[in-house]
Amino acid sequence: MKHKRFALVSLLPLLFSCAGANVDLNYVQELNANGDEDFVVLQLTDIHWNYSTNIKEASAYLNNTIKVAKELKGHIDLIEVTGDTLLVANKKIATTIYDLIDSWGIKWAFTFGNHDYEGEWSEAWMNELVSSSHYQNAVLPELVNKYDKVDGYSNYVINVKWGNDMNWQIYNIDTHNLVQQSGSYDYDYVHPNQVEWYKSQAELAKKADNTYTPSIAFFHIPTSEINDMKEEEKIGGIKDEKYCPGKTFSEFYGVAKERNCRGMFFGHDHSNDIVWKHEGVVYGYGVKANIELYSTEKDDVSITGCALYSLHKNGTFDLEHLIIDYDNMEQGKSSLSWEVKDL
Amino acid sequence: MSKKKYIAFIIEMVLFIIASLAFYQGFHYWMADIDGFKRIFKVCPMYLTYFLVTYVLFAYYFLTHQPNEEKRAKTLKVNGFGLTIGGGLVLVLVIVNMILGNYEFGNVSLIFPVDLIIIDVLVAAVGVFTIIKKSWILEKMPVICKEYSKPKWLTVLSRILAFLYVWIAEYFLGAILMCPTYIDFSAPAFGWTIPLYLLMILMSVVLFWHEYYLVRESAGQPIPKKNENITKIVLLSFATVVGLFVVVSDLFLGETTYYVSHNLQCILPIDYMISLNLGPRLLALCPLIALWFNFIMSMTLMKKKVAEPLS
Repeated sequence: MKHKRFALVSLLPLLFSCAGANVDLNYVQELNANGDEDFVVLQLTDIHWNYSTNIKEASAYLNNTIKVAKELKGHIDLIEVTGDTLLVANKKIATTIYDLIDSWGIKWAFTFGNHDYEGEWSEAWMNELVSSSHYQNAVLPELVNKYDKVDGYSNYVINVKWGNDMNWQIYNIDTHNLVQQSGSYDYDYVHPNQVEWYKSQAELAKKADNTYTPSIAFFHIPTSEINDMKEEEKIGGIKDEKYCPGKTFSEFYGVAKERNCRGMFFGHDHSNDIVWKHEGVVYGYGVKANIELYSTEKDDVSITGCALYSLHKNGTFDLEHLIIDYDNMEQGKSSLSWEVKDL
Repeated sequence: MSKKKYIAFIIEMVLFIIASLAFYQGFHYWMADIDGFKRIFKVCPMYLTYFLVTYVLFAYYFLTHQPNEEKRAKTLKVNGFGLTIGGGLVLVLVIVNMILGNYEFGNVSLIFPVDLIIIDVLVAAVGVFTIIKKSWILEKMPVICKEYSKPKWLTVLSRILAFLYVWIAEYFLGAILMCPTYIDFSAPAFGWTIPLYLLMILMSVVLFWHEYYLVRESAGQPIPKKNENITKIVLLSFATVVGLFVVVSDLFLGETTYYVSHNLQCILPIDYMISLNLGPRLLALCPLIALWFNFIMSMTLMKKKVAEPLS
């Protein structure tokens, strides 16, 4: 959301002048799969650490989730932290959660959620904290998003390679925060210039036969189009609250579908972990990774844990929601977990 | 005597600044648990501790703004006990939380929860001191306002408005003082937030000026009428121009610049919780209402003065 066009008419235009830095706008990061094995992505979302969080207990839960997922899949290649990691908090709490994530020794990517702006920090500070310039396992390229003209900070791509073959792309897209509309706020969406950015990145990754590389996209706030989708092809999970997408229409879904995007995954609604297929594309919520703010329960088991995406070399993927009860984490994977293969 | 009054005024201002920081911090602790109050037992002592600092300011204000000797003694007694009991009770709650393992050392601030203990002990100590040294305080502590003859309804209304205003001003002064933690001069649309920051400062400037006016009056060195009027006109003009700018820019450019959500979300958490853009409007209106109210009140009192001069 860097609306710099308005900077020229503002009171102190000089204060806006972050442009002009000579930065190589390379949004692409590259990660390699191990041999012919699947590339496993673990999604953590809506952790919501804040001043009231019992950090020791919440850390133990996250550590256990990673341990159980590793045991289940053998390895985790990338952790996708899809927003709302924090709530009303300070820099100390923010640093503690990202130190913890980095301590797992697994590459991790980050997208902003609407609550990530509520703490005692600036967007720029948070962007720098979660970037590769600060943490050795973070893959977010800091400077690109600071100096470009694309709205948002966490727009970047991870190319996943098997040897020399790039068989998957993972898109991280910033769905920002809130959009002001006539004195009230609505949730934001994927802006038109982000859609253009996505198009350009997809073009760059076209294969030799002129086809688009398969991709999945992670972002925090689902856009309004999900309200029009019927979940006739429900894959799994529960819907325990009304969807809370942004109200503004985004062209992103249509554009992404045309460019071989196989799945779009978000967070935001804590009581939904439903996943469905619509016109050949998989859409769905991740699993809330903590009980902060609010969460849902089924059969006395908290619907918390993580989502796992195993990307196959052949362009298909498996999806698993690993549910681990917050109060009985030592029991590991709950029977409410579910898995679907070869999507 | 007038020197003592000015010192009392300076103490009041210093207390206001400290209370602003504390109120801002306490408010954010409160916000962290506002959704369902699931951890009220843990979080309540955290914000109450910081809100107690505001209570110290109010107790000091009650004491120094009560010209009636009898009422003043009663005020001192009540607030002395209030501070002692308040500080003591919250201290007990903090200790119980520590014993139960709810507070992890250093996880909120560098010395947490020692900061809570220090504040609660200090507040309780101020309360105890007030009770023990009641006569000494009554003798030494000057009154820094004159007794005005006002209709009862006006007294009640002005007190309610003053309390609301002080809380809002405290919060925003706290936000300004804490800005090194969140301000980003290179943030998108930062320029549009400058008028809002100015209004945050203006709210406290209006209070400072009001208190300065009172102390000068009570010290028998009233601000010359010309200077008073110039100050009022300057403050009113500033509040009107900047307030209007904020309202108009918010109405017409807020949707496209995103200046609030880029830069001020940590200051305006309630706005985001209820999805209403109240903060900028509140900031635009508060100084204007306060200044006009003060202006109308002083006119009323002036008329009264002319009709039946106050002794």
